[in-house]
Amino acid sequence: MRITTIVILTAALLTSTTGAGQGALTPEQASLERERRAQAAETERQRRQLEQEQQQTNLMLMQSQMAANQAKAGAAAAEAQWAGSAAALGVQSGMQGFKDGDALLQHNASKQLLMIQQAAMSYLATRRESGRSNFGQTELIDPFAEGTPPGINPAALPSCLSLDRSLDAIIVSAGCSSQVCGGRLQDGDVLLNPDGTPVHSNADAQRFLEACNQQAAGLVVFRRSLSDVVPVR
Amino acid sequence: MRRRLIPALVYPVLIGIPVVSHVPAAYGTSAGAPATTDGWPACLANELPSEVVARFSDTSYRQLMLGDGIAQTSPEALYRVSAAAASRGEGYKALHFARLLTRVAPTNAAAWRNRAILAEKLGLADEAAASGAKAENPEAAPAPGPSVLPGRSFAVRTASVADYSAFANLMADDSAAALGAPVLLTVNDHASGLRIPTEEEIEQRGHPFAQAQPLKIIDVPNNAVVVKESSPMSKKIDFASIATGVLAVAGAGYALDQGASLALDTTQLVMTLSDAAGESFKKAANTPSKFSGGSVVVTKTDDGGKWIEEKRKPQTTGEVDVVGLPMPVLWASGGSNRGTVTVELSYNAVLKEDPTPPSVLASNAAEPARVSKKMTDIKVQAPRIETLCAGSRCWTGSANEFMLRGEDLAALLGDASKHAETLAKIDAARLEEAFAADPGSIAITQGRRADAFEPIRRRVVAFDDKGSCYAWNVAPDQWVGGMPPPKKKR
Repeated sequence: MRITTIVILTAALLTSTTGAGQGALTPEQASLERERRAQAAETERQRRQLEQEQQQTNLMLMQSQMAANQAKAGAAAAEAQWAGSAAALGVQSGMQGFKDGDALLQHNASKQLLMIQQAAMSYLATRRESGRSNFGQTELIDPFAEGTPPGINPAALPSCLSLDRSLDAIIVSAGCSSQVCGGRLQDGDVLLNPDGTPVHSNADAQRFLEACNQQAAGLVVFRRSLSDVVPVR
Repeated sequence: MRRRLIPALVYPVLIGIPVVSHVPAAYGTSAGAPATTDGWPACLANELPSEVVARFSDTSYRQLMLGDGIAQTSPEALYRVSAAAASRGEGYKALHFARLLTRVAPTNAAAWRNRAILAEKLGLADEAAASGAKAENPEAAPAPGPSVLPGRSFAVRTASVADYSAFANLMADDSAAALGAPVLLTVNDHASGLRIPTEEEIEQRGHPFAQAQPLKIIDVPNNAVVVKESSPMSKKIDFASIATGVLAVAGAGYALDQGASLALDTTQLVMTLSDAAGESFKKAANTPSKFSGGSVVVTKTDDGGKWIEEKRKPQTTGEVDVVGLPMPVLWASGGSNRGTVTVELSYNAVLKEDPTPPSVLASNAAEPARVSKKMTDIKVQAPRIETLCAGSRCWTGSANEFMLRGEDLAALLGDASKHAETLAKIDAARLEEAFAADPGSIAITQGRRADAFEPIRRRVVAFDDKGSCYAWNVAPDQWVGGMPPPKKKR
């Protein structure tokens, strides 16, 4: 009995170490062995499949990251995306999860990671920065105040012309006579239309200057005083 | 009614469930959705904050703050408000009132000149040029076209909450004018940032995720788009299949609960389990998002001013997290003189297997319908009322309420003590203080709560032409879509 036990154990040992001597196994042992090998093969197959999936996912991650980088074009923006300048992109903290790429890639929920990358890419693709410049204080023309010719924007008048609210007209600014109309006008002269009416719009003021500067373009009139209308050819 | 909404605000899986008031016939409105502030069904009072209801119960106040009351004031008053805003550096508000002035005094060249100056400084060259031409020839020159349009890049930032409110009014007017009909504008919920968690948070949660940051009002101007078509997401995994998977895992010797299950090593799971339950669990662990599909077709202008279309898809990021949802910006929708904006409610949420209580959609029947399938094409009127938040404090009101100050009311109405008193109850000055301290602190969505699975979305209330009221939080599987604008205006 003891010898028989030793023989069986020896045979089992040989079988397990060399793989030979399968014929010595009982049918039950052989069945268990086949099942074990099948399970091992299935496990190996699943492991390889997982590896392939992991590689594909990693490849997609790399591709998506490259695409994101390319989409951002600028190296600074691309660097900011994945390397920690998160605040500039509106991505708040926690970027060490992505900075330490290996650590996250080792996380087995890589598909979830891909989701987040896709979310980040959609964010980067659709988001536009908000405006940054200030409007500043601005003074408007009172359209209903007395003495304000409705068609004149003082801020947009040609240089050396200004609005004289008391005269309700456009005049040559002080110290500017030499720079207007070849020096033929004087400071305070009132611009008039060819029909003798005061110029009441920026466009008419511009036409006055053009005609006056070209000299031969036609009649230009101006008023030097309330009673003195001076035609200039 | 309000009590019924509370669970939806507390429990993550219930967020976004529409709540509908059954409206007795006596409260119902006549057929045809009201386009103005008049004729709102009484049940709306159940869904809006009581202080808002109290303010708008005054008809003349409501006409001023949620209608066309401002345009009815005198041209001189409109100029005074515009000039005051310009002197404070509130360019959009100044332009809004300058536009109103040129509308009521179209032959006043100086009014056009002011509008040209303001538009120029805001970088709206097309409006500036056209207004300048009108200043030269008010009667013959063509009127300026719409210029404050979605897709355009606005370099000048809004100077205050009042200025932002005016900007929203400008965009509401111009979008409607450009597309030939009042339209709904939205902004992606992650336009103000995407929060990606730390590795420790991922470990704690058991899987990666991403969150939309609270949507700041300063990001609305350059990120707004018009919604043309929309299809909400669908729930992808029901709780029943997950429960089966959990039981199978437990039978295999793992002590798991649903919360911990997703923290398991996926490889370990896959190599251990080969039965159908394990496969379903593998799917759940690998693609944990409960939502899939969904898209929204938006339209906006490109750099050349041409209208273009863009199809956007929300992105799943984790178990229940989704980013890229279209958040309605009601102040910028519909037209500034309208009390409501017409939207289409798309509802795709409730499955029969869903353990959450079935929600109720609008019904005037004695027994409200229980929803168990996708429902779309529900046209509702949403009052142009929004909630702005600074930190944990929020303010609810119309764009005009946040645009106007007490001195504006005095300029517009003369003796406006009554309305000024009502307006003061909003305490918008505190909101302006928060904006002045940090313009990025004012948001139109609150974002994720620290202890919740589901972000707090934007709450919208509305009513249909039968007088039934709706209240819901925009969620992955339910949001509002715009009514398609006419195609001819391309």
